[in-house]
Amino acid sequence: MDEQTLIKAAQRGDLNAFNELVLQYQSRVYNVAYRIMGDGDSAADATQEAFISAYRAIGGYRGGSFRSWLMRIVTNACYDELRRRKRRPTSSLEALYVTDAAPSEALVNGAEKPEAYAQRQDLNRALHAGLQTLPVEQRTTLVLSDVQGYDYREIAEMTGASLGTVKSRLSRARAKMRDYLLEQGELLPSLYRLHNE
Amino acid sequence: MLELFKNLRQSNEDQIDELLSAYLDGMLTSDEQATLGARLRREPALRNRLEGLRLTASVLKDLPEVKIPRNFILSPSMVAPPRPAPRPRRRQAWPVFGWATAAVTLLFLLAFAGDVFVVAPSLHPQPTVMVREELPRAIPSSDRTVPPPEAAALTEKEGAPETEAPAESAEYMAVATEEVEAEAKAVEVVVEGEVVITLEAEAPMEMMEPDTATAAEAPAATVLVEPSEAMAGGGEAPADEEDERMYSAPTPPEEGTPMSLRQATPEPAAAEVGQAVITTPEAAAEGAPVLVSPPQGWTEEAGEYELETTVQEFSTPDAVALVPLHVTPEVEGTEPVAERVMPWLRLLELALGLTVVGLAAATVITRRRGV
Repeated sequence: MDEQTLIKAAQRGDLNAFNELVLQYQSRVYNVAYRIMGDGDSAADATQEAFISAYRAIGGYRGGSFRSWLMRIVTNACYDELRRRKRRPTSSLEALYVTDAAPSEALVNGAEKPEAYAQRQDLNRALHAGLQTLPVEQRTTLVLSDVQGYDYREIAEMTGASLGTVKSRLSRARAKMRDYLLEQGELLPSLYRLHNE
Repeated sequence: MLELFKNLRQSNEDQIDELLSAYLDGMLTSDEQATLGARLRREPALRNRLEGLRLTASVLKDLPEVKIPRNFILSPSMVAPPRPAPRPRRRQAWPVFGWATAAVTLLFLLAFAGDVFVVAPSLHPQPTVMVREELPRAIPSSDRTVPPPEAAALTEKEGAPETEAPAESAEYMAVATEEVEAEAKAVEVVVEGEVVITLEAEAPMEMMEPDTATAAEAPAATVLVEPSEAMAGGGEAPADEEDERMYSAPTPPEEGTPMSLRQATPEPAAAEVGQAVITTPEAAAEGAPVLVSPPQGWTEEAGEYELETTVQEFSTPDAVALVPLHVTPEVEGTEPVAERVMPWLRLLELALGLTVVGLAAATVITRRRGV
């Protein structure tokens, strides 16, 4: 069934239809939550809460981009989880960065050298750590824009901000991330080399 | 100054980065893009700045997607309507008002009891006097018409020498009555030979009981109590004086009504203070007192005695029963205290009563509102 049919069925109370939508969007939703929250457990909690809230609020969906509607719920769930975590700080034994479950295809097929693979892993860890240094609103905007690829208008719908605010937050987030990477010593030259290859 | 320069410089750099970021995303107008383009060709630093932003956005885009740890599909229990949180148990106010009402009510009852049983009676002391009661004359069956007694007189019975003793001791003159009326009779009470108290009574003398015999209740009785001191050397009271202090005929007994009488015992020599004198009309006419032994329970201080309440017939036509009245001698200084306390006590009762009403209303209101 197409997305609109599933949405209508879910609006009629069909939980199975909604779970079909969950299966379609859960990976993207989890990744957004992971980049915003910074760790896997918090991201899983925020993802589950987001889908529960989405099912309960699906009756209020009036059309338009279901993805934008769902991401709005995800960002709000992440903000709520961050506030809860701030009130009750807990120490997590899990590393902040979750390594890729599977090595890249380029490494597997020999297209990428192991040194390059290792450097990329270091870069990914630095980027993930750099994201956690940003204010949550700038972090969310940068993840939705540069990580997930949403445009300014969609980001404005997802975050409930104006276009001008999205533009400002994104520019500052990029500039801070640039400066963070330059502080990592040899990392930026590696970035140039990797990008140009 | 340096801080202001830094802020201005930072603000300027932020504006430049915002232009460059929008330029990267194609979010500038055509004019803005042309202008910035010209600057980029002229300014290498601006180009490096733009390149840094572009590279950062590029590497972020290449961040790999993280694998989900599990499926996030929903179960029916996850989406069940949330149970409303239990209302926090608030401390209700109405029990507090209820207990306060009970406590203030108890205080009010204590104040009221104190007013009724302690303060008020102390303002109206009851005198206790010996009342000479003129018993209705037992009318002989042959002759029921007996003239009312005219005067009291001391009569002398057998054992005349003993009659001298009363002169040295308290004398109680008993006046026999020949007729006892059924209507209310006044009782004249003379206390210690000085004060004459006139009491109204309705009950016939034969129904009197010693502990309830008060001056107001003493039926048709006349008592003359003369302490020995008053009579020292006085001997018998003159009949005239007795007339002034005594009076009217008591209620005649109903036909056949027995009467109680403590008969005088002929011990005139032992007559002392407190001895009661009983006389009969005939003896009274002769002027001789008839002494009786002190009634049981007689004490000088109390000034009262107990009268047999059993009514029995007697053969003598006249008899006198002594009806005790209770006299509480006045003690100077007690009355003012009660008078001072009474107004405050009444005020306290009023305040407590209003408080009880207010608290009871508050209890009802708060309980209805569930507060």
